This record gives sequence, structure tokens and C-alpha cells, in this order.
Amino acid sequence: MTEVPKIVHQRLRTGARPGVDRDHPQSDLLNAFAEQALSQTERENVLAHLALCAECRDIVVIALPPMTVPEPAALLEAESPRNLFEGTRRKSFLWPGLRWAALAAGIAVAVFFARPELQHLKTAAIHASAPAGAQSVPDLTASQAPVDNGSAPNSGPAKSQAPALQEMTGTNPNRSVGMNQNPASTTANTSDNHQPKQFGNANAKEPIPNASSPLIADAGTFSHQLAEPTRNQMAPIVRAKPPLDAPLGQSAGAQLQPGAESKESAGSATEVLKESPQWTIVAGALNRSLDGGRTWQTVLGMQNSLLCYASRGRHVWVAGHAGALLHSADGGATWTSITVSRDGQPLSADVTSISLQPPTAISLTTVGKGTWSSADDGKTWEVKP
Amino acid sequence: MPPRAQPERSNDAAEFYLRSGATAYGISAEQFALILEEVQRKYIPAALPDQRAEFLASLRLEELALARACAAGSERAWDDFVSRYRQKLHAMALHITREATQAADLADSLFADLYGVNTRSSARNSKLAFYTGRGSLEGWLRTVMAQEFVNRYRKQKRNVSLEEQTEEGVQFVAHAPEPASTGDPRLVAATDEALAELSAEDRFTLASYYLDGRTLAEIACALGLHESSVSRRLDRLSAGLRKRILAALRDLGMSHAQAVEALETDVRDVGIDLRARLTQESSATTFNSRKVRARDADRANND
Repeated sequence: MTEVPKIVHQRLRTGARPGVDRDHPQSDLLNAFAEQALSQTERENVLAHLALCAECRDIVVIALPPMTVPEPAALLEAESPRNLFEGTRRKSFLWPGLRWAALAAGIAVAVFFARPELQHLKTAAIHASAPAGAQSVPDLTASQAPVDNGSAPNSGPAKSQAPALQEMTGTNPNRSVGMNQNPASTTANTSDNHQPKQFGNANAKEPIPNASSPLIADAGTFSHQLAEPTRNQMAPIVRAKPPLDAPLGQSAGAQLQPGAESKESAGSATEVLKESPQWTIVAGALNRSLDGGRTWQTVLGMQNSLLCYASRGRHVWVAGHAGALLHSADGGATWTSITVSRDGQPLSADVTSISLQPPTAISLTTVGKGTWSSADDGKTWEVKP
Repeated sequence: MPPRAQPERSNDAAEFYLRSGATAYGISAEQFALILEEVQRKYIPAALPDQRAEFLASLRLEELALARACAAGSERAWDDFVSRYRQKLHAMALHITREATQAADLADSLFADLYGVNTRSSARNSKLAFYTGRGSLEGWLRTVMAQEFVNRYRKQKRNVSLEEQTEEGVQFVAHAPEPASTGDPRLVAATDEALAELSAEDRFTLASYYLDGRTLAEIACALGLHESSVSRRLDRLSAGLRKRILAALRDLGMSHAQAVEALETDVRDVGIDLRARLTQESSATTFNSRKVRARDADRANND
């Protein structure tokens, strides 16, 4: 870290003396500040005080929740919009010569890789039903979902992945909703007890970089390229993009044709498995990893209000304070808010755990309000005290 | 007298009441409306009805109802509170103190304050009555506990035993003299000017990192940023400050070489002065003195 001149240390210290506001913010304001729950004006006022008051700075930092972030090094790659912006201002790129050289190199690489990629896409589209084994990757039918993962193919054995693949295949009977689809189409068939609200993923800072959900692959490309300009360009796209309405349920098991038992098929199966998202909740926000836990992105942040999650294949449910329950059928790309209610009385207690029982049963453990269970994927609910 | 807030639309009030679950703790809709009004008057006394509704909707209503019911003496609320937070409070205390006995002491004492033991008058005076629903109840409890911990630490600090002082080697240390003049007043003026141009968030970041010795992760968590953003910000700030100070010194009549020399001379001279000046009113070195001292020592060795 670059050091500042010591005169800056000194003036920061002495600057705190005469100007310090002795009227310290109360605990609720300090807490709301740390939880990013203040309005902009309030936040500015609290920050102005904190900049001068070491005592309050101590309290804020001591009161931070234990950090359960998986790996700081991995999180360095997290791609929040703020990071994307600041990432473009890296020091080395401030040097004009280097900037131009990087641009020229980038264009050269893009041209070099884009052409074979396009050719490959054309080939894949024309020969969508070609027999397996003829390509270096397992063959896909035109209706099968793609796996555009951008990660190195894994050639490990497929033996241990079979049950997981079956699970992934069997738990996705519904089609998922992409960012560019009309949310109304998914809400049409909902009952009174199941009142979904679409949470546009515009607020989710990171579009899925590796596009394990095919429907958001296009939407996510731009931001992803900003953060890691070379990943998409360097990794050859090995499969054709599917039609938008390709069912996700076929994403894993259905891709493996019975006859295609080559090593390449096994490798691809591992690839698919690797893309099965991993989840964790950090400071009330849901984070997802698409690369086996190496990097994590925040996909759903609700100001420290999420407490638990459960996932089944690409379906994930997440719940938290005041009975909040959200569901994503597409690996976290889009979210539906589910109102948990019984006889018109909504659940208002915190949900501390979710358990899923196949095929469509969910049960929620709440604080002081019993166990709420649904046998139909959250459409209707029963309460057990 | 503050202007009385306008009542929110009745359907809003009913929805807030329903969402809060206050009925389970025996709080009536009217009582809950009064609680909301009190909170709103505290933060946005002159709010328009829409602002008011938006503000109230942003509160943790369920936790607010629980806290206020506990403060009012509801046994059921207290049972709920204990089942939800007792374990967490002990875990928080352990996280803060990192020592089991102190943690138990801190958590129990806070629990007593939350219950509201007041021996002089028979009325309970619970700390939970101060929770306003801004931010989570758990976070508020952590903050209250952190505050209590800091207060205790400061009290204990004043009662350090002679043995400890001897171990620390400060038993016979004379009172710190008033810091000597920094030197060139132009340098001070230029630095103050450069610092004054920074935003509060930038000054907070600088003070947390350079004065308090906080880690990037801690600062990032407090600001809701990523560590890498804080790191880049610190780089940008230190480079920017240096540039601004140099520019200001040139404006004050120094040549570039003189300005650079003033800045660097100061780095060498102020080192000792800084140690003598660790007397910021609310001492920034309370919890991180060792860290900062170690860093200064490393720097001195390198010099």
C-alpha cells in the first residue's frame, strides 16, 4: 500500500481535535451506517463525524459481524459495478503508452479468436444433430441447453457424477425466466397465496459471468467483459447457443447421449457439474460461486436480511427476516418473491432454515411462529406450531 | 415543540402493524402507531406523508415490536428475545473480547441492561427501549456491546497496575510534552487544504487505515465496499494528496524541488513528533496501538 506523507498523518490527527463533534451518533445510527441502511444525507453526516472521531470508528469496526467471507483472495475477483468502474482505472493503465499497447493487443486477440469462434458456431448450428464422438466435446441436440462456461475442460471420470446429474435433470421441470423475458408471463398462473414479484437482476451486481444459466448469457456478457476482458475472448466457445426457451431440465443428463461414452463425454459431464452453483450467505447477502468456490459474487443483497438458503440443482430458495422468501429457478439469475401466508395471514417471523423434500415440498423453520410447509413449491402453506 | 407528524394512511398503519407481529406481544395498534410516530419524529420530524410511509416501511418492524414489547415487560416477548439472541449475544461477546471470562461478563451485563434492572425505582428501564428499528436488532446489539466494551476498556486503562506499567516500561515516563511545531507553516497549510478537499468518506478511509491501523477488510465491511476498492482508493488518495500538497506548496511560492524536499524533510522530522502526539482526544490508538507502533518501527528501521 502506498504510504502517505507523515504530515498527512499528523494533520489527520490534529484535525480531529478542534472540529470533533462531541455529539456522537447513537448506537442505532452507527449500526444502520454499518448495515448501509441510512439515507444518503444521514450517511454523509455520520461519515463526517466518523472521519474525526476515533472512538466511534472503533465502535463501528468492533461491532462488525464476524467476517465469514470464503476467501479474501477469491473475493478480489468479485465484480461489483463499483469495482468494475474502479478496475478500469488501474494504475498501470494510466500510462498512455501501455494503454494503447493493451488496446492493440486486445483487438488482435479478439480478431484472432472471434473468427474461428464464429465458424465453430456456424458449424455447430448446421450439424446440431451430428453423431457423438465426432467432435472434441459431447454432442448436443438443438434443443439442449448449452454450457458456455469459459473454464478449462475437465477430463475427470464421469462415474461419480451420475447421481448428481440425474438430480439436476429431474428437478427442473419448469422453464426458467430470463432477464429479457416478460415477467408477467411467469406470474399468470399463480394463486392468491403465491404472489410473485420479479426482482430484476439489474440490482444484482454481477451478471453470471460463466453463463451457467443460458438465458442470461447475453445479458451478462457486457459487464463480464469489462471485468475480465480476456476470459470470453480467450476461451473458445465449444457449443452453440440454444434457443431462449430451451428447458433447463435438460442441461445436464440429457446432454449425454447414450452412445457417447467417450472420455470427452466424461470430461464434459464434469464441466457441467462444476458449473452447478455453490451458495453461501455472507452478512445477510446471498453469494454464489460458479467455479467450485474460487470466486464468489453477490447475487442477492437485502441489507443483512437473508438468513438461510437451500438449493436443489439450479433451483435455490433463500429466506430471512420478516418471512421473506425468494426463489430462483435459474441458478440465481432471476428471483421471485414468494409471499408465505396462511388464511390471509402472512408469515412475519424470521425464517431460520429451509428444508427441501423432493419433489416439490418445502418447509421453513421460523422463530416463534412454528414450521411452515408447502407441498407445491410454495403455492400454498400449512403451519405446524 | 416539534411539529406533530401527520398520521399515515390507515391502510399503511394497518399493514405496518400486521407486518410487525406486535399483536402477539400484546401491543395494540394504537400503541404501535405511537412507537412509529416516536421513531419518525426522531429522524424525520418534518416529513411528508409519502416520505413518512417510505421511512416507516424501511424499519425492521418485527424486531422493533419485539424490542419494545420486551422493554414494556412482556414475558412472551422476553422469552422470544432470549431464545433468539441469548446465544448470539454470547457469541458476539466472545468475538469482541476474544476471552471467555470477559465475554461472559460482558454478555451478562448487557443482558441485565436489556432486561432493565433498576433497583432504585421499581420501574424497569430497559435499553431495548432505545432500539428504533433502523438496521437489524442483532446489529444494534453488537453496536451496544461494542460501545460497552470500549467504555470498559477505557475505564480499565485508567487503572493500570504498577506491574503492568513496569512491564510496558512506561512507569516513569514523563508526561508527553506539547508537540513541537511541525516546521514550515506552509506545509501545514497545504496539507490542511488538501485534506479539506476530500470527502468525508475519503477522510474516514484514510483515518481508519493510517491512524487506526484497520485492515482493508474491516474498512471495506464498514463502508459496504470490496477490499480491492478500498485498496485502490487508498492508493488513489495517497497519490492525489501528495500531488495536491506539492501543487499547493508551489502556489505558496516554493519551487518543485523545494516542495518535494519539504515533504520529505517532514517525513524524517515528524516521526518522533508523531509518537508524542498520540493524544488525540478519543485516542485512535486504543485498540491498534501495537499494530501502528509496529508499523512505525518497521518504517523507522527501513529508513
